[in-house]
Amino acid sequence: MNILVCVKQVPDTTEIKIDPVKNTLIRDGVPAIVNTFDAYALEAAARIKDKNPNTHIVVVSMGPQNAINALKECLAIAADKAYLVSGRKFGGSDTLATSYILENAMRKIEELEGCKFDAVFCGKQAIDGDTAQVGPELAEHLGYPQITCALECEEKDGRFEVIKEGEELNMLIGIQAPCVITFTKPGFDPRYPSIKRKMAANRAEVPILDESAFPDIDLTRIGLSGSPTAVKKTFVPQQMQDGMIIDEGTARTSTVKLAQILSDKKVI
Amino acid sequence: MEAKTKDLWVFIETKDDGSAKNGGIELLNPGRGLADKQEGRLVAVVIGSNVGRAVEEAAQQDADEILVIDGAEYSPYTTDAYVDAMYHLIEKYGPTTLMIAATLNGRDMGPRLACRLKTGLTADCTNIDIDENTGDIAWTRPAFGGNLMATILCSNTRPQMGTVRPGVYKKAVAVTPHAEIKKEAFHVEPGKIRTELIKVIKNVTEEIVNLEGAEIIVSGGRGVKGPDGFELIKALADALDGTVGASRAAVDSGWIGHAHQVGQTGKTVAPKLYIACGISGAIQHRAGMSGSACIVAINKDPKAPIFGVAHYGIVGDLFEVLPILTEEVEKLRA
Amino acid sequence: MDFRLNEDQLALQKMVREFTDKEVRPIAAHMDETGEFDEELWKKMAELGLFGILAPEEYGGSGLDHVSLCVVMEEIVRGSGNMYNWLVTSNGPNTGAILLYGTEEQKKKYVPKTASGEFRCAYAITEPDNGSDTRSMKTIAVREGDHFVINGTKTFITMATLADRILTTCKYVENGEDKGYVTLIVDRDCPGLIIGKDEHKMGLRGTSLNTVFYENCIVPAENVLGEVGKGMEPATACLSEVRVSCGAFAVGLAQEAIDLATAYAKEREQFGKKISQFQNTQFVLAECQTKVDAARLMTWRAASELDLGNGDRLYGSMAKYYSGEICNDVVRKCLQVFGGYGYCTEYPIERIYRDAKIAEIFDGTAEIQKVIISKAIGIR
Repeated sequence: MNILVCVKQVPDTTEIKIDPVKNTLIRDGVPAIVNTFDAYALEAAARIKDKNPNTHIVVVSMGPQNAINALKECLAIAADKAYLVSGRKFGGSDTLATSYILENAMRKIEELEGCKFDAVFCGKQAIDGDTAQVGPELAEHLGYPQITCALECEEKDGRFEVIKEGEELNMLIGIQAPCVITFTKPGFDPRYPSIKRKMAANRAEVPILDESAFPDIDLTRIGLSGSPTAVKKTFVPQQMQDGMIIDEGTARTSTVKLAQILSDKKVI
Repeated sequence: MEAKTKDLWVFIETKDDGSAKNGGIELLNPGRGLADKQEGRLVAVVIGSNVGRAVEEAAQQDADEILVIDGAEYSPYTTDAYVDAMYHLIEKYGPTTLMIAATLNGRDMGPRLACRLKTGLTADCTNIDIDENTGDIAWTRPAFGGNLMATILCSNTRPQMGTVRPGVYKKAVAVTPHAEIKKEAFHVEPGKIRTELIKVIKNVTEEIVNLEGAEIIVSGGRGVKGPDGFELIKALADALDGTVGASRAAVDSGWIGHAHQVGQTGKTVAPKLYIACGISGAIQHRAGMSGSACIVAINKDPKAPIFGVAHYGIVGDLFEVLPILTEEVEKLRA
Repeated sequence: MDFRLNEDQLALQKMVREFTDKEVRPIAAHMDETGEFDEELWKKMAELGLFGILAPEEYGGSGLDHVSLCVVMEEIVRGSGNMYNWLVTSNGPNTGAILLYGTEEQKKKYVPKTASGEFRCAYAITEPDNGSDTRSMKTIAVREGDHFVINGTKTFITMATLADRILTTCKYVENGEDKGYVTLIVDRDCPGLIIGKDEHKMGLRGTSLNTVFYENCIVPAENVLGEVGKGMEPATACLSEVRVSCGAFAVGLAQEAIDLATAYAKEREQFGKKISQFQNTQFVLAECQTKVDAARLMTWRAASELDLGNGDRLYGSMAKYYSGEICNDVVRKCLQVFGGYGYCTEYPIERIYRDAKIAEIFDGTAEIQKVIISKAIGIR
């Protein structure tokens, strides 16, 4: 069984602050982490490997050079091999272009590893972009069936059974291999790296695939030229200007006033 | 592909019983205005099984045309059937814009469809407008867990696509239906549907919490201090016929189940009233509830960020305030 | 001479720090209050590999060096001092002595499962009447055919309630004659092994400290560790190692105290300003940090000597004695920064103060360390 896990190194958005003067994000000093949802995808792959030790887990990330840190963290946690896809021409890619590059990367990795992936696991979304598009778009490029918002996944006779999150009830869905599955937060915590794996991961070689690894890639479909969407502007969400603090002196009087206001506004 | 018309399409997701989910119906509201500005028609696309009711609901929302694909293979939702069906329709009719409600299924189908169409999709939008310079749709959405808003354009490919957060737009007042209803015969062979629903999982232990559809949510955070504190939250929620929500801190501490979590790694909600108790208001939580119509915050710390998004706030101890509020609500509703 | 941690050690430090913040700190107060054993936390730490840091890879450990163990210890006790006990019962003599003196079967039987956290261990030398004066111990083991019979009482045995085995050192008596000492691996299910009461303690309340009774306790002969008659050797083989860990424990507690006091001082206002702006506060904390840095370097140096194969006891003793002493001084001063709040259990500094005292006592009192140091410098 061979599983490719796509991961992204992202800033820890719980640590991001806003510059009150410039009204922009302060990105300096914000620690970089493995995208939270991708960690769930890696955990899902690790659990399949717990049951079937013959499972080969490869992680791939498209990003700048320092994304190697995220890849090494994945090696320390559960992955057997890691690849970084990084090149100047890839910069500026939106989700459509990114997923196209990842499709090419996957085919290349299959060639280098001498295997065919039975599944591609991704996190549901990246906590910086929040689009949740790359997984399904990659599935479309590959022509593979997909399941999004998976909580848990088991391998059964060459296909997968996935517990998928629903709006009200969860569902057990069967999917043929090869397939793409994107993961959301499950009821269990992803595992920690072990010390042994961490030391080994620090020493591991992570091959870098740049443009030269993909001689046949269509350059018009990558980078800015391959991106149908473009950011027109960004801005920091406005604080509530006219929020009202109710202070009538005591907890009781303030609360009674609140209830009255909400009732008058027909909110309750 | 090239746009053949200036029409604006809204995808109407349906339920198993053939009625429409709110997300799509709501979008016909802004859809009407945008279609007019784009000088095109407002078209609702209904896909499902026995969807008569959904068609009616869409017609009441001032749609000019309703395209209907009705077949047993469309219930329950599968990626393959819906993407194939939508692709067929879009290829045939070439709309300029497609809006989809950002439900779980919408966000499953949208990107795959956009990719097949080689066009741009903007996800989870909280605002849609027309860009003055280009006349394109300007899609505005949160990024970085809600720390940053971005406005996106898709100028060179068609259709321009976006998924829109449910609850951001409200359903318009019903009008006399005048839509032309077109039934499209498109069927997906069973062999082409590569996933199968084995069973729906009846939650024996984990409760079913419908936060996304809730009108009133009372939410507890770190300030609730433990599972006992959630009893107070629940009492107020019950008095309001509302649902109990929670911040990630409360869920991670094991005080309440993950099904109640509101925020970036939980659910996104847009109720009429959101009462945040003992929640500091970290960005990731706000990302999940800032679409609420009326936000009330109760927190001991006057500097808590939650007060920056609340319409009304009380700086106080929730253990004091909540029982009083519950009492007052019961009185007012009696 | 490079005093910096290498890349691996830095990565390890970061890893354990993150783990401690996420998993240990949140439960520290509860553990202190209830003394309950957190099975979930044990499992997580086992998965990380924290119980097999020194054990060689071939026996299921991570095969790391003593400096690395110091780094891990310092980080994790900052979450809860009890973690010292969790780590040293596995990483100490129960791994080290068995590796040095055990037969191949014993090594294979015990070391991997200790490293993996599957076994929990304790080690027993101290007795009610024999603390520092170990050699006069009164627990006696005699051989009877294919087994040994132990009679006696051991006291202050950390985590005996949870232990799957207790490494026990006894006087060895043959035909009524005193023939030295013997160390035995006493499995929990040995008949006659009775775990007695858990002491009600000042600190490290999250782990038990038991009296253990051996009443005609029968132990199979294959459980002798090392040579019969020479049982003091395995018992004392890991002393330097353990003392380095004691030093790291003291350094970790002291550093945590300084960080807590610093953060508090920056928030607390009196007389119109933050108390961090008073020179007294600044100078006291500066002195504390200097002492902690010195202690830290001493423990690293002692660890480094062990890594270089130097079995000399001097450095371990100095590190333990000094770290223990400054730790108590530093923690006391840091608590003072908190004023009345430092006396309240709601503030972690209160627990750290109670935990810190043991640093001057356990695994060889400060006085015993001074005996060793005086000998080493030739004054004794």
